[in-house]
Amino acid sequence: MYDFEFVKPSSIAEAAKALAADGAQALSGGQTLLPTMKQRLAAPGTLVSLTGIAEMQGVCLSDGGLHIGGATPHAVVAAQAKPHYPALAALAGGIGDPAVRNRGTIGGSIANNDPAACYPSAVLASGATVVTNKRKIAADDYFQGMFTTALEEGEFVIEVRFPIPQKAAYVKFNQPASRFALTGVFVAKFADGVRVAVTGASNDGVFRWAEAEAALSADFRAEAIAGLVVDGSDMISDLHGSGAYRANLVKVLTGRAVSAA
Amino acid sequence: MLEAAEGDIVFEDGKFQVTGTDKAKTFGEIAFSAYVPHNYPLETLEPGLEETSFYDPANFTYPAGAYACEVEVDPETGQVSVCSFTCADDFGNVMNPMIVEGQVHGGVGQGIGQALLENTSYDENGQLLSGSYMDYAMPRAEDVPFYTVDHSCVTACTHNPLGVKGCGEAGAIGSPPAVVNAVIDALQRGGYKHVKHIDMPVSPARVWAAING
Repeated sequence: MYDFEFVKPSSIAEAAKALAADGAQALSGGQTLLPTMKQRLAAPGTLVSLTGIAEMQGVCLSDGGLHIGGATPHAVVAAQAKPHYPALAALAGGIGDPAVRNRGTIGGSIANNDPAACYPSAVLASGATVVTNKRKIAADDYFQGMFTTALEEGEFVIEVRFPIPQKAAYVKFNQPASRFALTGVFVAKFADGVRVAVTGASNDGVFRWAEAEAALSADFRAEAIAGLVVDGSDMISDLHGSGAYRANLVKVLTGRAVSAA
Repeated sequence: MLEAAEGDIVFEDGKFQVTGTDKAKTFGEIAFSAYVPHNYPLETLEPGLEETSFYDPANFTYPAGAYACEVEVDPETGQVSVCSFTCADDFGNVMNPMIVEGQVHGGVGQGIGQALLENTSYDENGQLLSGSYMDYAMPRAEDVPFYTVDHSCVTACTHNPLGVKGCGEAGAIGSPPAVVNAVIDALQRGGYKHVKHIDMPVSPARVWAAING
Protein backbone atom coordinates (compact mmCIF):
# COMPACT_ATOMS: atom_id res chain seq x y z
CA MET A 1 0.00 0.00 0.00
CA TYR A 2 1.29 3.49 -0.85
CA ASP A 3 1.14 6.42 1.52
CA PHE A 4 -2.12 8.42 1.51
CA GLU A 5 -4.00 11.08 3.47
CA PHE A 6 -7.26 10.21 5.23
CA VAL A 7 -10.19 12.51 5.98
CA LYS A 8 -13.55 11.64 7.48
CA PRO A 9 -16.04 14.48 6.94
CA SER A 10 -19.28 14.59 8.93
CA SER A 11 -21.47 16.29 6.33
CA ILE A 12 -22.29 15.84 2.65
CA ALA A 13 -21.07 19.36 1.87
CA GLU A 14 -17.69 18.75 3.52
CA ALA A 15 -17.34 15.41 1.71
CA ALA A 16 -18.16 17.04 -1.64
CA LYS A 17 -15.54 19.71 -0.97
CA ALA A 18 -12.90 17.15 0.00
CA LEU A 19 -13.65 15.06 -3.07
CA ALA A 20 -13.22 18.07 -5.37
CA ALA A 21 -9.49 18.12 -4.56
CA ASP A 22 -6.91 16.58 -6.88
CA GLY A 23 -6.22 12.88 -6.18
CA ALA A 24 -9.17 12.50 -3.80
CA GLN A 25 -11.00 9.17 -3.76
CA ALA A 26 -14.24 8.32 -1.98
CA LEU A 27 -14.02 5.43 0.50
CA SER A 28 -17.11 3.69 1.80
CA GLY A 29 -16.78 0.13 3.18
CA GLY A 30 -13.53 -0.42 1.28
CA GLN A 31 -14.30 -4.00 0.30
CA THR A 32 -12.91 -3.48 -3.19
CA LEU A 33 -10.84 -0.30 -2.87
CA LEU A 34 -8.68 -1.40 0.09
CA PRO A 35 -7.59 -4.76 -1.41
CA THR A 36 -6.84 -2.90 -4.64
CA MET A 37 -4.68 -0.42 -2.72
CA LYS A 38 -2.94 -3.21 -0.81
CA GLN A 39 -1.98 -4.77 -4.13
CA ARG A 40 -0.66 -1.34 -5.20
CA LEU A 41 -3.08 -1.27 -8.11
CA ALA A 42 -4.48 2.05 -6.86
CA ALA A 43 -2.68 4.96 -5.23
CA PRO A 44 -5.16 7.68 -4.26
CA GLY A 45 -3.60 10.76 -2.66
CA THR A 46 -6.46 11.28 -0.21
CA LEU A 47 -9.16 8.90 0.94
CA VAL A 48 -12.41 10.63 1.81
CA SER A 49 -14.39 8.35 4.11
CA LEU A 50 -18.17 8.57 3.65
CA THR A 51 -19.03 6.51 6.72
CA GLY A 52 -19.12 9.40 9.22
CA ILE A 53 -22.07 11.24 7.64
CA ALA A 54 -25.31 10.73 9.58
CA GLU A 55 -27.67 11.37 6.60
CA MET A 56 -25.97 8.56 4.66
CA GLN A 57 -26.72 5.89 7.26
CA GLY A 58 -29.75 3.72 7.82
CA VAL A 59 -32.97 2.41 6.34
CA CYS A 60 -36.30 4.27 6.43
CA LEU A 61 -39.74 4.17 4.86
CA SER A 62 -40.63 7.36 3.04
CA ASP A 63 -43.22 8.24 0.38
CA GLY A 64 -44.18 4.56 0.18
CA GLY A 65 -40.64 3.55 -0.75
CA LEU A 66 -37.63 2.28 1.12
CA HIS A 67 -34.77 4.78 1.38
CA ILE A 68 -31.35 3.40 2.19
CA GLY A 69 -28.42 5.64 3.05
CA GLY A 70 -25.45 5.24 0.73
CA ALA A 71 -23.07 4.27 3.54
CA THR A 72 -25.40 1.71 5.12
CA PRO A 73 -23.67 -1.67 5.56
CA HIS A 74 -25.24 -4.79 4.08
CA ALA A 75 -25.85 -6.29 7.53
CA VAL A 76 -27.98 -3.28 8.53
CA VAL A 77 -30.03 -3.55 5.33
CA ALA A 78 -30.45 -7.30 5.91
CA ALA A 79 -31.89 -6.61 9.38
CA GLN A 80 -33.83 -3.36 8.87
CA ALA A 81 -35.27 -3.82 5.36
CA LYS A 82 -36.70 -7.23 6.19
CA PRO A 83 -40.23 -6.16 7.28
CA HIS A 84 -40.61 -3.79 4.30
CA TYR A 85 -38.77 -5.38 1.39
CA PRO A 86 -37.80 -8.96 2.30
CA ALA A 87 -36.25 -9.81 -1.09
CA LEU A 88 -33.87 -6.87 -0.79
CA ALA A 89 -33.02 -7.78 2.80
CA ALA A 90 -32.33 -11.37 1.75
CA LEU A 91 -30.03 -10.18 -1.02
CA ALA A 92 -28.08 -7.99 1.43
CA GLY A 93 -27.87 -10.88 3.90
CA GLY A 94 -26.39 -13.15 1.24
CA ILE A 95 -23.50 -10.93 0.19
CA GLY A 96 -20.04 -12.24 1.13
CA ASP A 97 -19.59 -13.24 4.77
CA PRO A 98 -20.34 -11.46 8.08
CA ALA A 99 -17.13 -9.42 7.94
CA VAL A 100 -17.96 -8.18 4.43
CA ARG A 101 -21.59 -7.47 5.36
CA ASN A 102 -20.57 -5.35 8.33
CA ARG A 103 -18.16 -3.21 6.32
CA GLY A 104 -19.40 -3.17 2.73
CA THR A 105 -22.08 -0.61 1.84
CA ILE A 106 -24.81 -0.27 -0.77
CA GLY A 107 -23.35 2.98 -2.11
CA GLY A 108 -19.90 1.44 -2.43
CA SER A 109 -21.31 -1.57 -4.24
CA ILE A 110 -23.26 0.34 -6.85
CA ALA A 111 -20.54 2.98 -7.31
CA ASN A 112 -18.06 0.21 -8.13
CA ASN A 113 -20.64 -1.71 -10.24
CA ASP A 114 -18.72 -4.98 -10.24
CA PRO A 115 -20.30 -7.21 -12.92
CA ALA A 116 -20.72 -9.98 -10.32
CA ALA A 117 -22.06 -7.80 -7.49
CA CYS A 118 -25.54 -8.52 -6.12
CA TYR A 119 -26.88 -5.01 -5.37
CA PRO A 120 -26.98 -3.64 -8.95
CA SER A 121 -29.61 -6.26 -9.85
CA ALA A 122 -31.89 -5.13 -7.02
CA VAL A 123 -31.48 -1.45 -7.87
CA LEU A 124 -32.20 -2.06 -11.55
CA ALA A 125 -35.05 -4.56 -11.08
CA SER A 126 -36.73 -2.31 -8.52
CA GLY A 127 -36.47 0.70 -10.77
CA ALA A 128 -34.82 2.49 -7.86
CA THR A 129 -33.55 6.07 -7.88
CA VAL A 130 -29.93 6.77 -7.07
CA VAL A 131 -29.59 10.05 -5.19
CA THR A 132 -26.17 11.67 -5.35
CA ASN A 133 -24.73 14.88 -3.93
CA LYS A 134 -25.62 16.52 -7.25
CA ARG A 135 -28.81 14.94 -8.65
CA LYS A 136 -31.24 12.03 -8.82
CA ILE A 137 -30.50 9.30 -11.38
CA ALA A 138 -32.96 6.61 -12.50
CA ALA A 139 -31.53 3.09 -12.25
CA ASP A 140 -32.03 2.60 -15.99
CA ASP A 141 -29.67 5.53 -16.63
CA TYR A 142 -27.25 4.80 -13.79
CA PHE A 143 -25.62 1.48 -14.79
CA GLN A 144 -23.55 1.96 -17.95
CA GLY A 145 -21.51 -1.25 -18.27
CA MET A 146 -18.96 -3.24 -16.31
CA PHE A 147 -17.45 -1.03 -13.55
CA THR A 148 -19.04 1.98 -15.25
CA THR A 149 -21.81 4.23 -13.91
CA ALA A 150 -23.33 7.65 -14.54
CA LEU A 151 -21.38 9.04 -11.56
CA GLU A 152 -19.11 11.95 -12.48
CA GLU A 153 -15.88 13.09 -10.84
CA GLY A 154 -16.58 14.17 -7.27
CA GLU A 155 -20.09 12.69 -7.31
CA PHE A 156 -21.10 10.07 -4.75
CA VAL A 157 -24.18 8.08 -3.73
CA ILE A 158 -26.05 9.61 -0.80
CA GLU A 159 -29.11 7.41 -0.86
CA VAL A 160 -30.90 4.77 -2.91
CA ARG A 161 -34.71 5.00 -3.05
CA PHE A 162 -36.46 1.71 -3.74
CA PRO A 163 -40.10 1.47 -4.78
CA ILE A 164 -41.51 -1.58 -3.00
CA PRO A 165 -42.82 -4.25 -5.38
CA GLN A 166 -45.86 -6.45 -4.77
CA LYS A 167 -43.66 -9.53 -5.06
CA ALA A 168 -39.94 -9.98 -5.53
CA ALA A 169 -37.10 -12.45 -5.13
CA TYR A 170 -33.39 -12.64 -5.81
CA VAL A 171 -31.77 -15.96 -6.64
CA LYS A 172 -28.06 -16.24 -7.20
CA PHE A 173 -25.81 -19.09 -8.20
CA ASN A 174 -22.50 -18.85 -6.39
CA GLN A 175 -19.19 -18.85 -8.17
CA PRO A 176 -17.58 -21.85 -6.45
CA ALA A 177 -14.46 -20.06 -5.18
CA SER A 178 -15.31 -16.42 -4.48
CA ARG A 179 -19.04 -16.99 -3.77
CA PHE A 180 -19.80 -13.88 -5.79
CA ALA A 181 -22.77 -14.28 -8.11
CA LEU A 182 -21.69 -16.44 -11.05
CA THR A 183 -25.12 -15.30 -12.18
CA GLY A 184 -27.88 -13.71 -10.13
CA VAL A 185 -31.42 -12.71 -11.09
CA PHE A 186 -33.69 -10.23 -9.33
CA VAL A 187 -37.36 -10.36 -10.28
CA ALA A 188 -39.75 -7.63 -9.08
CA LYS A 189 -43.48 -7.54 -9.79
CA PHE A 190 -45.16 -4.13 -9.66
CA ALA A 191 -48.77 -3.14 -10.39
CA ASP A 192 -47.72 -1.89 -13.83
CA GLY A 193 -45.45 -4.78 -14.82
CA VAL A 194 -42.54 -7.02 -14.00
CA ARG A 195 -38.87 -6.06 -14.05
CA VAL A 196 -36.08 -8.66 -14.35
CA ALA A 197 -32.42 -7.72 -13.79
CA VAL A 198 -29.47 -10.05 -14.28
CA THR A 199 -26.02 -9.73 -12.70
CA GLY A 200 -22.85 -11.76 -13.18
CA ALA A 201 -23.63 -12.93 -16.70
CA SER A 202 -23.02 -10.14 -19.20
CA ASN A 203 -19.82 -8.50 -20.38
CA ASP A 204 -21.84 -5.27 -20.20
CA GLY A 205 -22.61 -5.66 -16.49
CA VAL A 206 -26.08 -5.77 -14.98
CA PHE A 207 -28.91 -5.76 -17.54
CA ARG A 208 -32.69 -6.10 -17.85
CA TRP A 209 -34.08 -9.15 -19.62
CA ALA A 210 -36.81 -7.53 -21.67
CA GLU A 211 -38.35 -10.72 -23.14
CA ALA A 212 -38.82 -12.24 -19.71
CA GLU A 213 -40.30 -8.98 -18.39
CA ALA A 214 -42.91 -9.02 -21.18
CA ALA A 215 -43.75 -12.69 -20.66
CA LEU A 216 -43.95 -12.38 -16.87
CA SER A 217 -45.98 -9.16 -17.00
CA ALA A 218 -48.61 -11.15 -18.90
CA ASP A 219 -48.33 -14.29 -16.77
CA PHE A 220 -46.31 -14.24 -13.54
CA ARG A 221 -45.40 -17.92 -13.41
CA ALA A 222 -42.08 -19.69 -14.05
CA GLU A 223 -43.73 -21.54 -16.94
CA ALA A 224 -44.25 -18.25 -18.75
CA ILE A 225 -40.57 -18.03 -19.71
CA ALA A 226 -40.19 -21.70 -20.69
CA GLY A 227 -40.16 -20.92 -24.40
CA LEU A 228 -37.65 -18.06 -24.22
CA VAL A 229 -34.09 -18.46 -25.47
CA VAL A 230 -31.17 -16.57 -23.90
CA ASP A 231 -28.24 -15.79 -26.18
CA GLY A 232 -24.95 -16.63 -24.45
CA SER A 233 -22.63 -15.45 -27.21
CA ASP A 234 -21.90 -12.08 -25.55
CA MET A 235 -21.89 -13.38 -21.99
CA ILE A 236 -18.91 -13.73 -19.67
CA SER A 237 -16.90 -16.88 -20.34
CA ASP A 238 -14.24 -17.91 -17.82
CA LEU A 239 -12.89 -20.92 -15.96
CA HIS A 240 -16.10 -21.12 -13.88
CA GLY A 241 -18.49 -21.29 -16.79
CA SER A 242 -19.00 -20.54 -20.46
CA GLY A 243 -21.30 -17.93 -21.87
CA ALA A 244 -23.74 -20.70 -22.79
CA TYR A 245 -23.72 -21.96 -19.19
CA ARG A 246 -24.42 -18.47 -17.86
CA ALA A 247 -27.22 -18.04 -20.40
CA ASN A 248 -28.75 -21.26 -19.06
CA LEU A 249 -28.42 -19.95 -15.49
CA VAL A 250 -30.19 -16.71 -16.44
CA LYS A 251 -33.28 -18.66 -17.49
CA VAL A 252 -33.17 -21.23 -14.67
CA LEU A 253 -32.64 -18.61 -11.95
CA THR A 254 -35.33 -16.32 -13.38
CA GLY A 255 -37.81 -19.20 -13.15
CA ARG A 256 -36.75 -19.95 -9.59
CA ALA A 257 -36.98 -16.29 -8.59
CA VAL A 258 -40.53 -16.11 -9.96
CA SER A 259 -41.46 -19.24 -8.00
CA ALA A 260 -39.85 -17.86 -4.84
CA ALA A 261 -41.42 -14.38 -5.12
CA MET B 1 27.53 -49.14 39.64
CA LEU B 2 27.37 -52.90 39.93
CA GLU B 3 31.10 -53.37 40.53
CA ALA B 4 31.24 -56.30 38.15
CA ALA B 5 32.89 -57.18 34.85
CA GLU B 6 30.86 -56.48 31.72
CA GLY B 7 30.73 -60.19 30.88
CA ASP B 8 29.09 -61.00 34.22
CA ILE B 9 26.08 -58.70 33.67
CA VAL B 10 22.89 -59.82 31.98
CA PHE B 11 19.89 -57.68 30.96
CA GLU B 12 16.56 -59.30 31.74
CA ASP B 13 13.06 -58.00 32.54
CA GLY B 14 14.20 -54.38 32.44
CA LYS B 15 17.02 -55.00 34.91
CA PHE B 16 20.79 -55.32 34.69
CA GLN B 17 21.83 -58.14 36.99
CA VAL B 18 25.18 -59.57 38.03
CA THR B 19 25.01 -63.28 37.23
CA GLY B 20 24.58 -65.49 40.24
CA THR B 21 23.93 -62.60 42.69
CA ASP B 22 20.99 -60.44 43.70
CA LYS B 23 22.85 -57.27 42.70
CA ALA B 24 20.78 -55.44 40.05
CA LYS B 25 19.97 -51.98 38.72
CA THR B 26 16.85 -51.10 36.79
CA PHE B 27 16.98 -49.48 33.37
CA GLY B 28 15.67 -46.28 34.94
CA GLU B 29 18.46 -46.20 37.54
CA ILE B 30 21.11 -46.69 34.85
CA ALA B 31 19.61 -43.95 32.67
CA PHE B 32 19.39 -41.56 35.66
CA SER B 33 23.04 -42.01 36.55
CA ALA B 34 24.05 -41.44 32.92
CA TYR B 35 22.62 -37.90 33.26
CA VAL B 36 23.75 -37.29 36.89
CA PRO B 37 27.35 -38.39 36.44
CA HIS B 38 28.84 -37.44 39.85
CA ASN B 39 30.67 -40.77 40.16
CA TYR B 40 30.97 -41.50 36.47
CA PRO B 41 34.29 -42.60 34.90
CA LEU B 42 34.43 -39.36 32.91
CA GLU B 43 37.91 -40.12 31.48
CA THR B 44 36.69 -43.22 29.69
CA LEU B 45 32.95 -42.71 29.28
CA GLU B 46 30.97 -39.75 28.06
CA PRO B 47 27.84 -38.95 30.10
CA GLY B 48 24.37 -39.17 28.51
CA LEU B 49 22.49 -42.08 27.02
CA GLU B 50 21.59 -42.00 23.34
CA GLU B 51 20.94 -44.71 20.84
CA THR B 52 19.40 -44.77 17.40
CA SER B 53 18.24 -47.84 15.62
CA PHE B 54 16.41 -48.39 12.38
CA TYR B 55 13.66 -50.83 11.64
CA ASP B 56 13.72 -52.18 8.12
CA PRO B 57 10.33 -53.74 7.42
CA ALA B 58 10.25 -56.84 5.28
CA ASN B 59 7.61 -55.28 3.05
CA PHE B 60 5.31 -52.24 2.70
CA THR B 61 1.99 -52.21 4.46
CA TYR B 62 -1.19 -52.38 2.41
CA PRO B 63 -4.38 -51.05 3.97
CA ALA B 64 -7.60 -51.87 2.14
CA GLY B 65 -10.91 -50.07 2.15
CA ALA B 66 -14.21 -49.39 0.47
CA TYR B 67 -15.76 -45.90 0.19
CA ALA B 68 -19.39 -45.09 -0.55
CA CYS B 69 -20.60 -41.62 -1.51
CA GLU B 70 -24.14 -40.35 -2.07
CA VAL B 71 -24.64 -37.17 -4.08
CA GLU B 72 -27.50 -35.08 -5.38
CA VAL B 73 -27.18 -33.40 -8.76
CA ASP B 74 -29.30 -30.46 -9.88
CA PRO B 75 -29.57 -31.11 -13.63
CA GLU B 76 -30.65 -27.53 -14.39
CA THR B 77 -27.51 -25.94 -12.92
CA GLY B 78 -25.10 -28.89 -12.66
CA GLN B 79 -24.63 -28.27 -8.94
CA VAL B 80 -23.45 -31.35 -7.02
CA SER B 81 -23.95 -31.74 -3.29
CA VAL B 82 -22.46 -34.55 -1.24
CA CYS B 83 -25.21 -35.93 1.00
CA SER B 84 -23.40 -38.72 2.80
CA PHE B 85 -20.01 -40.38 2.82
CA THR B 86 -19.08 -43.68 4.44
CA CYS B 87 -15.57 -45.09 4.70
CA ALA B 88 -14.68 -48.64 5.74
CA ASP B 89 -10.95 -49.25 6.11
CA ASP B 90 -8.84 -52.16 7.30
CA PHE B 91 -5.82 -50.46 8.85
CA GLY B 92 -4.71 -53.56 10.79
CA ASN B 93 -4.36 -52.96 14.51
CA VAL B 94 -5.31 -49.38 15.36
CA MET B 95 -3.31 -47.79 18.18
CA ASN B 96 -5.25 -44.51 18.48
CA PRO B 97 -8.70 -44.60 16.84
CA MET B 98 -9.32 -40.87 17.28
CA ILE B 99 -6.34 -39.69 15.25
CA VAL B 100 -6.90 -42.40 12.66
CA GLU B 101 -10.48 -41.18 12.13
CA GLY B 102 -9.26 -37.59 11.99
CA GLN B 103 -6.75 -38.57 9.35
CA VAL B 104 -9.52 -40.18 7.27
CA HIS B 105 -11.79 -37.14 7.73
CA GLY B 106 -9.06 -34.82 6.47
CA GLY B 107 -8.29 -37.06 3.52
CA VAL B 108 -11.93 -37.32 2.47
CA GLY B 109 -12.33 -33.53 2.72
CA GLN B 110 -9.30 -33.09 0.51
CA GLY B 111 -10.62 -35.70 -1.92
CA ILE B 112 -14.06 -34.04 -2.16
CA GLY B 113 -12.28 -30.76 -2.87
CA GLN B 114 -10.23 -32.41 -5.57
CA ALA B 115 -13.27 -34.13 -7.08
CA LEU B 116 -15.62 -31.14 -7.13
CA LEU B 117 -13.78 -27.86 -6.60
CA GLU B 118 -10.02 -27.45 -6.75
CA ASN B 119 -8.57 -26.49 -10.10
CA THR B 120 -5.19 -25.15 -11.14
CA SER B 121 -6.07 -23.53 -14.42
CA TYR B 122 -3.75 -21.80 -16.89
CA ASP B 123 -4.54 -19.78 -20.00
CA GLU B 124 -2.81 -20.33 -23.35
CA ASN B 125 0.05 -18.01 -22.34
CA GLY B 126 0.82 -19.96 -19.19
CA GLN B 127 -0.81 -17.37 -16.93
CA LEU B 128 -2.28 -18.96 -13.80
CA LEU B 129 -6.00 -18.14 -13.76
CA SER B 130 -6.72 -19.58 -10.32
CA GLY B 131 -3.98 -17.73 -8.46
CA SER B 132 -6.05 -16.60 -5.47
CA TYR B 133 -8.98 -17.90 -3.44
CA MET B 134 -11.24 -15.67 -5.54
CA ASP B 135 -10.82 -18.29 -8.28
CA TYR B 136 -9.23 -21.32 -6.62
CA ALA B 137 -12.11 -23.13 -4.94
CA MET B 138 -11.08 -24.71 -1.64
CA PRO B 139 -13.58 -27.00 0.07
CA ARG B 140 -15.29 -25.33 3.04
CA ALA B 141 -17.23 -26.83 5.92
CA GLU B 142 -20.51 -26.47 4.02
CA ASP B 143 -19.12 -28.48 1.08
CA VAL B 144 -18.62 -31.69 3.05
CA PRO B 145 -21.09 -33.89 4.95
CA PHE B 146 -20.67 -35.60 8.29
CA TYR B 147 -18.62 -38.73 7.65
CA THR B 148 -19.24 -42.27 8.81
CA VAL B 149 -15.86 -43.92 9.40
CA ASP B 150 -15.50 -47.60 10.20
CA HIS B 151 -12.34 -49.57 10.98
CA SER B 152 -13.92 -52.58 12.63
CA CYS B 153 -12.46 -54.97 10.07
CA VAL B 154 -8.97 -55.68 11.46
CA THR B 155 -6.57 -57.89 9.56
CA ALA B 156 -3.28 -57.54 11.42
CA CYS B 157 -0.29 -56.85 9.23
CA THR B 158 1.97 -59.92 9.26
CA HIS B 159 5.36 -58.32 8.71
CA ASN B 160 5.64 -55.76 11.50
CA PRO B 161 5.49 -56.49 15.23
CA LEU B 162 2.54 -54.15 15.90
CA GLY B 163 0.39 -55.54 13.08
CA VAL B 164 -0.31 -51.99 11.90
CA LYS B 165 -0.86 -50.54 8.42
CA GLY B 166 -0.59 -47.04 7.00
CA CYS B 167 -3.70 -44.81 7.13
CA GLY B 168 -2.38 -41.42 6.07
CA GLU B 169 -3.52 -41.25 2.47
CA ALA B 170 -6.46 -43.65 2.49
CA GLY B 171 -9.12 -40.93 2.67
CA ALA B 172 -7.58 -38.83 -0.09
CA ILE B 173 -7.13 -41.86 -2.35
CA GLY B 174 -10.56 -43.40 -1.94
CA SER B 175 -12.74 -40.31 -2.03
CA PRO B 176 -12.24 -38.70 -5.50
CA PRO B 177 -13.32 -41.77 -7.49
CA ALA B 178 -16.20 -42.39 -5.06
CA VAL B 179 -17.49 -38.83 -5.59
CA VAL B 180 -17.10 -38.80 -9.37
CA ASN B 181 -18.62 -42.27 -9.75
CA ALA B 182 -21.55 -41.15 -7.61
CA VAL B 183 -22.14 -38.17 -9.90
CA ILE B 184 -22.01 -40.33 -13.02
CA ASP B 185 -24.33 -42.88 -11.39
CA ALA B 186 -26.79 -40.15 -10.38
CA LEU B 187 -26.86 -38.79 -13.93
CA GLN B 188 -27.32 -42.27 -15.42
CA ARG B 189 -30.21 -42.99 -13.05
CA GLY B 190 -31.66 -39.58 -13.87
CA GLY B 191 -31.88 -40.58 -17.52
CA TYR B 192 -28.71 -38.92 -18.83
CA LYS B 193 -27.39 -42.23 -20.18
CA HIS B 194 -24.89 -40.59 -22.51
CA VAL B 195 -22.81 -39.19 -19.61
CA LYS B 196 -20.06 -41.70 -18.93
CA HIS B 197 -17.18 -39.48 -17.84
CA ILE B 198 -16.55 -35.99 -16.48
CA ASP B 199 -13.04 -34.66 -15.81
CA MET B 200 -12.23 -33.46 -12.29
CA PRO B 201 -13.05 -31.07 -10.86
CA VAL B 202 -16.68 -31.94 -11.51
CA SER B 203 -17.78 -28.30 -11.44
CA PRO B 204 -21.39 -27.22 -12.02
CA ALA B 205 -20.48 -25.90 -15.47
CA ARG B 206 -18.85 -29.21 -16.46
CA VAL B 207 -21.80 -31.27 -15.21
CA TRP B 208 -24.20 -29.05 -17.12
CA ALA B 209 -22.04 -29.26 -20.26
CA ALA B 210 -21.91 -33.08 -19.96
CA ILE B 211 -25.70 -33.28 -19.61
CA ASN B 212 -26.24 -30.98 -22.58
CA GLY B 213 -23.28 -32.25 -24.63
